[in-house]
Amino acid sequence: MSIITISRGSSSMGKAVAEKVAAKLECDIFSRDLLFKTSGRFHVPQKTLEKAIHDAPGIFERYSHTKKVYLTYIRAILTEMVAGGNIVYYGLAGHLLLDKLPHVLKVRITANLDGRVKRKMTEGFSEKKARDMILADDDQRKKWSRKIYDADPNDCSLYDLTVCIDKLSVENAVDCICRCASRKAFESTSDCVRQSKDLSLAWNAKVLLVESFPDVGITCEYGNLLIYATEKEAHTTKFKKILDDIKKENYDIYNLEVHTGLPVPANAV
Amino acid sequence: MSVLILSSENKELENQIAQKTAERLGYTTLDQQFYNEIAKKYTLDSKKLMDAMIITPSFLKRMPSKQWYYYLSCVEVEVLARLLEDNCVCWGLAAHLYVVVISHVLKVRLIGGHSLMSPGQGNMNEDKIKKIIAEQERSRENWSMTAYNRKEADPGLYDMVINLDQVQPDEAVDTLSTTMGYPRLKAMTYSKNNLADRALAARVKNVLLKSLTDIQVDAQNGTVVVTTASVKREKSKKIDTIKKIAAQVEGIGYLEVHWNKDMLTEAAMSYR
Amino acid sequence: MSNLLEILLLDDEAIVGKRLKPALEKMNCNVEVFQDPQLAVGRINEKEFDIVVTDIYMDDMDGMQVLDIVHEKSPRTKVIMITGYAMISLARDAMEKGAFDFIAKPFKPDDLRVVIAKAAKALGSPIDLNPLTRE
Repeated sequence: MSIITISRGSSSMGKAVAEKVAAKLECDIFSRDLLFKTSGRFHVPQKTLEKAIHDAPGIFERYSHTKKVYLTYIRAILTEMVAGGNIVYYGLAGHLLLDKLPHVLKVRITANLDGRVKRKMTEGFSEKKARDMILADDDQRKKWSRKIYDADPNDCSLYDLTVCIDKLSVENAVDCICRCASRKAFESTSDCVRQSKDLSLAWNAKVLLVESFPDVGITCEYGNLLIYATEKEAHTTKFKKILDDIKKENYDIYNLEVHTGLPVPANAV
Repeated sequence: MSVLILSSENKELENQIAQKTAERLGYTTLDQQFYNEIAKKYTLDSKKLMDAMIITPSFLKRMPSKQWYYYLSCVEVEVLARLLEDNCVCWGLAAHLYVVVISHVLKVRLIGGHSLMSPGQGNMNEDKIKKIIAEQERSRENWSMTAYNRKEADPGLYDMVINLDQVQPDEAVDTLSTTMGYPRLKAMTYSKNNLADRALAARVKNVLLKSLTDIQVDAQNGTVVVTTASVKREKSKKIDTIKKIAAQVEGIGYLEVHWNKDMLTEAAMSYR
Repeated sequence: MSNLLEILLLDDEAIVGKRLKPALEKMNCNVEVFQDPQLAVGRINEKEFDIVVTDIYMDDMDGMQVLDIVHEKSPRTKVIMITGYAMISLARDAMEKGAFDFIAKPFKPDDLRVVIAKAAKALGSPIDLNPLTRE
């Protein structure tokens, strides 16, 4: 039972690798369905969500938390989708969106620029256009990663395994990934399943709070939800109402507590 | 004949994984113990040779630039010669920086795993460890950029990067051993000839760097191209010297020398 | 029963066959030379060769297709790829498909003889690189 995220630059054969890994491990696979489901649940256009997960924040966005809200929606749906395990996700930023689940195997597929340009050209673009498109896409992803997570997508420490598709073929990469997925660290134990479910609960709670209280932190362990907020936030009527909604909508919550005046833990959502 | 080259800031784990992989595959090993052999062959100070592989040229550290480049080239020549011989696991010799684009060579970077340190080092707190690692990485980047104009931590240099924070050393050994068995990594005449070309270029560069500076060498199928720079008035002399010295190297089919004007020195001298 | 190593040599440039055939026949090999890939494939379907040496870039059919056909017909046959347009990616693809070796042109006939000797050894029928000197 594996959860695998496959990150890649455009035209790096990442999709082909993901599909073959999913087939070999008999896992479900998804990418764009994430945005489709998020769009359906929260009534936000898919294009808007795609921008949130791909484009670096524009000047005005830096002064609003719209992107944060959309990313919260996306993460809530993503953690729900992977909670059952046995899944391959090859969409954008999987290694960052699922960073709080240690048993997720995070893979990056790399390829040299010339090879990527050649592959892009098979879609009907000229060499120059293909190169420009790829470089622009890489640039956007880099900026997004830096702005939202202060991370460089090319930083290998974000991944468990990075494979270059130029030296190793797609089949070799698939073989490597499947072997890695069977390692102890990536086994979906009952504890891991519990962690996934807790994380899903935390994100679902965050979804309800993020619009009005974007800076609250939430942790969840064994169904015990801890919300870290300021004194001022915690005493508002709106906050209390949202807490009631959280309890009503999430039956798996065993207990809900609010902590004020404490620093938000590093593992909080 | 296949070659595995490992690179890591975590020397302890790198050593462990390299040794176990070599044992599993039945390959020979090539590591920093090779420096003594190189120093002996070229009559170099072995401590200085090892220093050259860590520090950049420095007047204060008594490592002038010319000497430094020569020392590096001695290591390059001997490592490439050894890699031509047999199935081999190589680490600690910066081979990942100068063995490029050879299809039967797998280059792997090992990152993380610092929590798996031996008991003596485990007393340091996490922040201190992170600081030390960051400093080491900065230093290595500086060295590799000066020596080979490549960033050591650049993932583009490697065919695979394994994060030892999650993957155990034994599991990494499994992964490497399996990967080395892939048909794509099998040596072929074409790739062996490519490696032989690199070795030839390294040999030519080495004999030239003994007495000259500003030398780049490329080789293909026995044709060697030496690129150099100097002020205009020294052009003929330098080219002649290069041809004379390089002629001593075995295996050259045809030698060509390309000369570029050293603009900076030329400009500096024009004010005298 | 012949002890000769049966080799098929396919290259659309006539000069290649002219140069290599005599060099390989010196090693007690029986060499059939083809310039047309279709004819070569026809012959491969009729007879099992020990070694097939094939160019990659040809008009009607490329060497990779020939490799596939040979292996389908006779998995034991060693296929050696030769090309004047060698690229790392092509070389890797050839090895992944099961080629025994990949050689970039230009090469000397002696270079190919060494590879043929290796292929023969891998087939369990080692041959002498210089049998005439022993007579």
